[in-house]
Amino acid sequence: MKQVWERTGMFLALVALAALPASGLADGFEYAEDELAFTLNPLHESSMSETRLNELLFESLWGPGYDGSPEPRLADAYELSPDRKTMTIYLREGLSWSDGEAISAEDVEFTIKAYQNPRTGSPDRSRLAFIKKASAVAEYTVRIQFVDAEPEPLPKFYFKILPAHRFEGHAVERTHPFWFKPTTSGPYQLASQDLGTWSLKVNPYAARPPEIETVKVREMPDKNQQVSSLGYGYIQAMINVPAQYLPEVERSRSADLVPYQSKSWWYLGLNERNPDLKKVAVRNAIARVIDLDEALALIGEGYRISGPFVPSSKYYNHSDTVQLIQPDGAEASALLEGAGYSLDDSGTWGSRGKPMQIRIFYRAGMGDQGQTVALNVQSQLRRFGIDASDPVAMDKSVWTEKVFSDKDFDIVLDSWSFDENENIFDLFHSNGTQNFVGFNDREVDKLLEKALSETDPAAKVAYMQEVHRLLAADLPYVFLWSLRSYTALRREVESVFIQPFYYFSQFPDWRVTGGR
Amino acid sequence: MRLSSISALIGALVLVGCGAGEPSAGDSAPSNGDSAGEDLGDVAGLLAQTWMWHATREPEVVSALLDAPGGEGWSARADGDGAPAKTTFAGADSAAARLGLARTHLARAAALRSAGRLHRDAALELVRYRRDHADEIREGAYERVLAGLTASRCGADGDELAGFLAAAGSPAPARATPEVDAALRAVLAQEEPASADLGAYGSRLAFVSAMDDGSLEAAVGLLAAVHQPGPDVVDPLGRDEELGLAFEGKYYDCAVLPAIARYHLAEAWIAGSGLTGVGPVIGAAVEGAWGGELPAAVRGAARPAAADELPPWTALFGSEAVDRADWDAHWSGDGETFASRFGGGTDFTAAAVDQRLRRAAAAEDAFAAALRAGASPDGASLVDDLQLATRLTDRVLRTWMVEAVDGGHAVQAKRLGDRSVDPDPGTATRVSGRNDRAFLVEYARGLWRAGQPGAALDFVHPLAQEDPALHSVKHYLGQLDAASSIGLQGKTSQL
Repeated sequence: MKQVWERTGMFLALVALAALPASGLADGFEYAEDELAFTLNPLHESSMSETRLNELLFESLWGPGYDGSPEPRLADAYELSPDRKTMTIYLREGLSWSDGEAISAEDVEFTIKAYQNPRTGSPDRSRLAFIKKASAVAEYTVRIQFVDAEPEPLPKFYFKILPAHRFEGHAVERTHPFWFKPTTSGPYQLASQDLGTWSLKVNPYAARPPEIETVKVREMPDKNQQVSSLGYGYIQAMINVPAQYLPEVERSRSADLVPYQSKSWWYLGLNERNPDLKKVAVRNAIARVIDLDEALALIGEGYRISGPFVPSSKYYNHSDTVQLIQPDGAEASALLEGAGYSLDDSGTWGSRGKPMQIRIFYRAGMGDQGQTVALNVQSQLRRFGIDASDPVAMDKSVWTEKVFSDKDFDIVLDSWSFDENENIFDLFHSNGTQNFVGFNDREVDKLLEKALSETDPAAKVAYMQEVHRLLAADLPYVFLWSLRSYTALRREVESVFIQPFYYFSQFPDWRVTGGR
Repeated sequence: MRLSSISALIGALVLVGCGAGEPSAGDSAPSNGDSAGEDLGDVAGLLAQTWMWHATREPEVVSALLDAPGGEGWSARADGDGAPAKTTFAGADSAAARLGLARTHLARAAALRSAGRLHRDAALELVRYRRDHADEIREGAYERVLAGLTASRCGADGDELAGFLAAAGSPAPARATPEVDAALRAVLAQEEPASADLGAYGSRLAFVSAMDDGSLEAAVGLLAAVHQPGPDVVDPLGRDEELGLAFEGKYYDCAVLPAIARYHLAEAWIAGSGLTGVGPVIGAAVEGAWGGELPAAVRGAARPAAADELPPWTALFGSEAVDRADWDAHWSGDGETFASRFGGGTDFTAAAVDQRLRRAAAAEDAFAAALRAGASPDGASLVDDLQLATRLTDRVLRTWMVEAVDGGHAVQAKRLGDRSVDPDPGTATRVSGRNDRAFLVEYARGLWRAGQPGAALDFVHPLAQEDPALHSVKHYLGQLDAASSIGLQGKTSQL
């Protein structure tokens, strides 16, 4: 027995030796995104690739700590008034922007006003609606007046702070050159931009200096290329690994798969400015035309959803009154006929002699999976007799203009990701900043407002589950599915902690050991 | 016949592509710690008592297990399909089938034990939240007495328990139904519950009581009530008259999941009794996990001795615990785990966890090489086909994970758990040959403790979909997740 223990001890020593890093720390980290961040201006950040990249470039007053609770970043301390309607924030003194200018209270005041300015057009505008007024009262002191009492305000200050001296006014256009020439406060600053690549270097004034000197993010729409690049060590991380690639990455033994928690789901957005899609019956018919299980099977494993939440969400309504819609051509026909539509001689649905024509767009960032699903949806609609055009992929800039600004679309295929708060207010409230489908329902508005102000968790859940029930019937979107999300990192990347949703919040602590 | 049986198991495990498959893009890249497997003798010493070691040396014993009547139940078990496995094993008459039945009950008990712990901790956290936010919540008609029940039955102690009990003593609001209020107070006072007024909860309390006594006969008659979906008590929190919505609090008793776990432990004891070789191993697990003295009613319930003898190590075949000492520690919560012999200490700083992860990755190669060395071709093939080295590494990582959570290092526990989740289980529940239910619940516990209740729900929800007993865990985590979102609008981005 003693001999066994001695041998075991030797083995452990051997394993410990083998486990030592091969050669010190490497200086660079590269990762792949399906679609490159389009803007580096946090005011206009709207995609996950932008959220992740801006996590490396900018700091907020408070940010999510390892355990999810708020930890100070640019803030040092705060005081709340007894009525909790006023907050005084004291900034850390001596911090600078990447250009050497001091970070001051004026930057905070400017940032809040810029976010809140409707002409800025920030998708995050409503996240700052809790602030009535922000004033820089001293070089490092900001006074915030809240609209209502705020017992626990710190998680509301996760928005990124911007350098006032780079802007001329509080209305910041998307075209302001800050989007590609940012001045940063985060661990990194922009080093260069090449075709399909953002390169970052350490910000010498970083409040949280990182261990890794350079970061490069590469656009790789092709997942095969991402997997190969990861395997050969050309990149150290692949943000999202689709289900069909999981076995290959796991087999490689050079990278590890780590769950990446972001509450994400796919949808078909139906534009209610389209006279056909404005009708609930038509939207319901379309939902019944498409065999979503068939479409999902084409891209891998996932969970079908009946409303705007992932199935594991506390807000998901699992009651018997809310069911997944099953394909049912007969019911779809009946719904269309009831709404005054009929099939013409060519077998196409229309009304008053005018065929229903649907243009389908999908975001290019959804890659092969997006194209596959969009083509399948088109094919199924056509089989049923709906004149659906060939799906068109749009890059981020075109999408922003055509879909979000001009609302010039019929059906779009896209997906949303949410932090732990699962904010659907902006998607479905009639005044929501991201309600691009034009959904307008007074009851849903009221429920969303009450859910936001509700302070009892059980009642908040009840409000949101009722929203789910109503949206599952009204169908501003055809809710598709939620896919499991894994990220892959090579083993030489250490001290890795994947922050839910934000991904890179703890990146300053990451290290890359030798061996690339 | 032998090989076909193993192949059937392999097929059921859905283990294609593990290990010796065709080279992938990553094969050409260096992997940390490839040299760790050079001194196989040392590794052999560590592995010599594991079921993996025995299986690779005695593949014919594995085949005999699978070829015995009811042997196909092992394939279902490997897939995590507990119900079909139970049916198959229960319908066959062989020592192997009885062992399989015992193991199926033990697996269920393990999952329920973990779920019970998570239920207890989350329920306590929720009553603390509602107590600390008394001005912001909508107080339920039975809120205070239910908080008192939660505190007393979920293990609060000292001043905290006294505080909850004192609050529970105050009169209920007028909207409370007097009979229900009185019945709940009787439970709180540990008097005989007025089951007629508490509906299914009364039956569940009777079930708990029956299992405390080890009275399987009484418990069986109450199983339907136990497995009926729905909370033990629904507490009206008021209404939104404008929108016509009613708000409800839900109470699930902390003692129910441990009682169901005991029921399965008792069934495991009975199935394992009379089995020469493996019976004592099963019995040790039951005694270790029971939590107190095993009641005479259980101890005395025995089946006739089986004709066949199974080697003791087969009691562990396919188990998360890898050798007898690890098995005993796993079930009793005390003793020497495999991970403790592997080494690691008590340091769970980020740097120490980096070191642990490196060592685990290096060890996996060494484990595989050691298991293959000296094994017959059939035995060696099991290394890849059953992912034996991966499962040994999983065992180390998961033991560390639980130790880290219990030691208050949940963030680092998450990092350890992340590395041992089977990312491609092929099932909606995420259950697979590697991802047993108990591990998934423990991983969720770590996620919650690391400040990620939503992520924890992601793992608990699918399990609760297949097992109504776990609705309690899902409910409490969901409420805590909602509580953490009060007043926050959150961020939304395109994927």
